[in-house]
Amino acid sequence: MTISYTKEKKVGEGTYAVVYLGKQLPSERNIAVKEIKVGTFKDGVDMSAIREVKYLQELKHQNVIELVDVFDEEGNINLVLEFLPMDLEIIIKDTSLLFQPGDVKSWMLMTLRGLHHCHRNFILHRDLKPNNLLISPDGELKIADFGLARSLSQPNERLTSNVVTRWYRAPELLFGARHYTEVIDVWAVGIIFAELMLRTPYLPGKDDADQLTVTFQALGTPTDKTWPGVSTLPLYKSLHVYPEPSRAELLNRFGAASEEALNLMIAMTRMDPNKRCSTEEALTCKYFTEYPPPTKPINLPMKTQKKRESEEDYESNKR
Amino acid sequence: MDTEEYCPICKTDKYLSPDMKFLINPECYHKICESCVDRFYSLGPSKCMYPNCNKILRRNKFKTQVFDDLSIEKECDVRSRVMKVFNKNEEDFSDLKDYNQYLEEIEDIVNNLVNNVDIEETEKKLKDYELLNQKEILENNTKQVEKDQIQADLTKLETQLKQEKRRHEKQTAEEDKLLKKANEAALIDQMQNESAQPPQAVRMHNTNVLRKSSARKKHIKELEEQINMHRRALGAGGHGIESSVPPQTPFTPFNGDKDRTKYYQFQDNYYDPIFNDMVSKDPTFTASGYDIKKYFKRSLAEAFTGLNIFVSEEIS
Repeated sequence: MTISYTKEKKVGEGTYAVVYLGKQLPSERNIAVKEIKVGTFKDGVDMSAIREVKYLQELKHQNVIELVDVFDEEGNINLVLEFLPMDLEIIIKDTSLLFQPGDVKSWMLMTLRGLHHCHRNFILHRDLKPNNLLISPDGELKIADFGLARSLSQPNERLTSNVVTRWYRAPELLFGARHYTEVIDVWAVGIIFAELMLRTPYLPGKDDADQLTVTFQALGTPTDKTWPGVSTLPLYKSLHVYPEPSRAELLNRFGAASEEALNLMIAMTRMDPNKRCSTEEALTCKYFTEYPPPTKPINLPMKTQKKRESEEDYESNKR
Repeated sequence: MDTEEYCPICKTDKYLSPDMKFLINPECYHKICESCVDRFYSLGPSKCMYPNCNKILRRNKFKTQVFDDLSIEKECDVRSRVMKVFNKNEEDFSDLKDYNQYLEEIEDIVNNLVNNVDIEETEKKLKDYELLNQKEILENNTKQVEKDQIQADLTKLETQLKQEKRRHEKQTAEEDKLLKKANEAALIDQMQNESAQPPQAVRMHNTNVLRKSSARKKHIKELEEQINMHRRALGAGGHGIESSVPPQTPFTPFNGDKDRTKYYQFQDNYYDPIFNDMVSKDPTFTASGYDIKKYFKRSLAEAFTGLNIFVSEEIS
């Protein structure tokens, strides 16, 4: 039996790919097809496409986007991905939706589970942000966009520190570290956690320099005392030293957060990467077992637009 | 002039007497001022003062208006009246469908009463239901009161816990400061006197502080216990729909997917003449959070998972 795919609707175009919605035949399963543009690059296929295929075909997890298939058509590479209509950014920005503490917990749980699967396979995602956390129709959150992913480096490899969208960039990256590890992803999740509670970006720097200022204003400036060796990093400058926020200040900033939620966030946004918690530590922390329990994915708040459309259809049918 | 500004009976103006209050009666919702109510209804029930309104009004039923829109005011009154009688909870039904049916019935009655549809018939229905279910209504009422009490207790305990925790933190910080000072003083003393033992006073102080902080910790723990008990009491109230749902799988952080298969045993140290040196000599490695053990782990995992070999099995 042959499996084929249809491309029905173009939904987006990036610098290196065009995304279509379509169906897998004969199963009628909804899928998204990412067609990589070839030929626009001198050196063959774009790096991020290779990264995406390389890592996604290894990772199979409930909370990581599924790479269904890869095929080639007229010399173009097509990635067949799971169809995920929603992302967390849209949900955060939709002010008509109310988040319960259990909802935030559920999203955090799914993100960390997905990320834990990446990390135990020694894969760094390097571009975590609400926009890359997609939501399936039944509410499951899935980590997507592995275009910047890579595996944990060897000591002789020097990585570029110019990764991760600015607002979610860990301090060691801001200082130009070349030997960072998977905890940069943990930092990003910590910032997303804050964003879920605040409903607005936590550390919105206007440019790279401003990002340093904003980050340290919020969480204190690291020194060689609090973060041994930080001054050896390439971009470390003697900056204005902001004091570290006290617990009371943080409590004030996140009025809705429970004590345990705050503990987890503090652990995930520690400046010194050596002290930051791992995904495993984060998942086993008390926050996830304390009251209230995480909301079931199917009951999480969802954008209602789709529902309204179908209701309208129903109404017009009645008339 | 706006009708809100003066009383239609005595024509007193709100502008001239800003203290005046308007009252309404849920019989007909006609608005009159407080002094008129006193004048006309203090001697017992009497007819509404509005022309053509023949409702008999009683003084004790007059109340201040909450909503600007009288239709909303009326609906709220009707609803609270109906809900007093129809006071079952979701837990009292074993089937969601029955519960929805029940809610539908309530809405029908409210709608009829608000919009004056089949008033007599609906009133009769309400009364019949009340008579039929008298005992149950009373029971549900007491149940609700109990639940509210637990909820109130819970909120009180939670605020108490928060305060306690904050105080604990503050005190610990202060004591740390004091302790540090005392230790410093002791150190200076020691250097001056060259006596090997720290003075008795400091040691006493230390144990005192420890004892105090552990007592506070215990207190906080007790509070947490109490809160949990209340929560359980709230959650385990119903035996209806909730319990018919199949039991949930217990929560596990990794969703039952924690990898326990180990292809290799990890040692504390591995000999690698190039990388070990490289990492230990360059401080930027540690500063960026790099740990050579992670690299060794990755190498071992890649070597063994690819071949699916368990070393211990191979040896035996």
